[in-house]
Amino acid sequence: MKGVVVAMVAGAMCFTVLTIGLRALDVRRRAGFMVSVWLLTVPAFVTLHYVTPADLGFLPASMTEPWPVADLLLGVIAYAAVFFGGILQLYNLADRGLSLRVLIDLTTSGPMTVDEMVKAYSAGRGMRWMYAKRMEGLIDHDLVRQNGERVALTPSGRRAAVIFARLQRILRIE
Amino acid sequence: MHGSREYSGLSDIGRSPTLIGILVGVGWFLIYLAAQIVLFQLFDLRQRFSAMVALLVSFIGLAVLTTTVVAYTNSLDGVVLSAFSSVVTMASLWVFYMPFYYVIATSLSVRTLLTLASRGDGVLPLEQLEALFASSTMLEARLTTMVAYRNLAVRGSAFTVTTKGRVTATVFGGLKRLWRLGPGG
Repeated sequence: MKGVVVAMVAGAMCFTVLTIGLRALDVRRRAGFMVSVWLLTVPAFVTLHYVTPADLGFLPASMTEPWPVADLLLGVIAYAAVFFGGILQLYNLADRGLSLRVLIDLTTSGPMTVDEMVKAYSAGRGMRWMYAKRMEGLIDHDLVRQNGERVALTPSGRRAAVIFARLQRILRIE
Repeated sequence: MHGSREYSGLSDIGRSPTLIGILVGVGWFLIYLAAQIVLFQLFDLRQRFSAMVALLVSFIGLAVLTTTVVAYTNSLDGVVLSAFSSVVTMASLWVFYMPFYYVIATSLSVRTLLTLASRGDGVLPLEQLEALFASSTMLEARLTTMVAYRNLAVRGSAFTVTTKGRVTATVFGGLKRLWRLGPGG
């Protein structure tokens, strides 16, 4: 159980470091920055796990793992979950979430019709801006290329589409 | 610095309650994934998220039961620790999996790739893609889902945010300010 407790503490430390970094620096690729910061904190997590006593001074004997490597493994799983399933997902939702942006627009501007929302989306940037941002991401990852007003799949984009189509069939997503 | 209960031999490792919990957790999570696929193939569920949570809770229960049975039948110490480890493992794997599921299910980027791939030559005018993914039709479909999850309510032709939706917007609005993310979306 120690590994999970240490993972929670390390997660809080990682969140604090990320907050300071995002506020102090002008970060362009924020997701990449966040993953880099997390990777840098993994050795700190392992060190913290190594130097602390097995019971952390308060855990009951029944919750203390006799084999430290197993406890560290569980801690790494928990720490990765705290970051990839927690902190990074909070960022993805806050920065890219369409539904969340709609909620914020409606909270700040009051009730709107669908057509009004299409124009007012993201504090007045509009839905076309939102889609241009997605398109930029696809181009950056070499999944599509844009020639003037035409958009074309790249070979890697076609491979990715095949995989996503299979996964959608398996999960019966329409 | 570790306690005096440390194992001395390799044979002891197989008696590690945490390791048993992790292995049981991984095993039951794989069965959970298979069960979810079967469930989605057999039934056309409207509230998939609720079904996924209910299924997960059931399978976590089975994992706890498994660790308990394994511990008692092999006279192992640390039943609670083993059960706890299986729960943490399953919960962690689930939070890794869910973002992946939602990318496949709702991402506009993924839908764009699939739309382009459905054309033989993989080419479409940007205007046509915008009509599909940046239009009032697309937004209306998303709003309908948000109404179903009680984040929004309909007042005549206008949409308004519910108390649940307002709380979500306030929390994430605070996070956006804290991380200086800008409007985003």
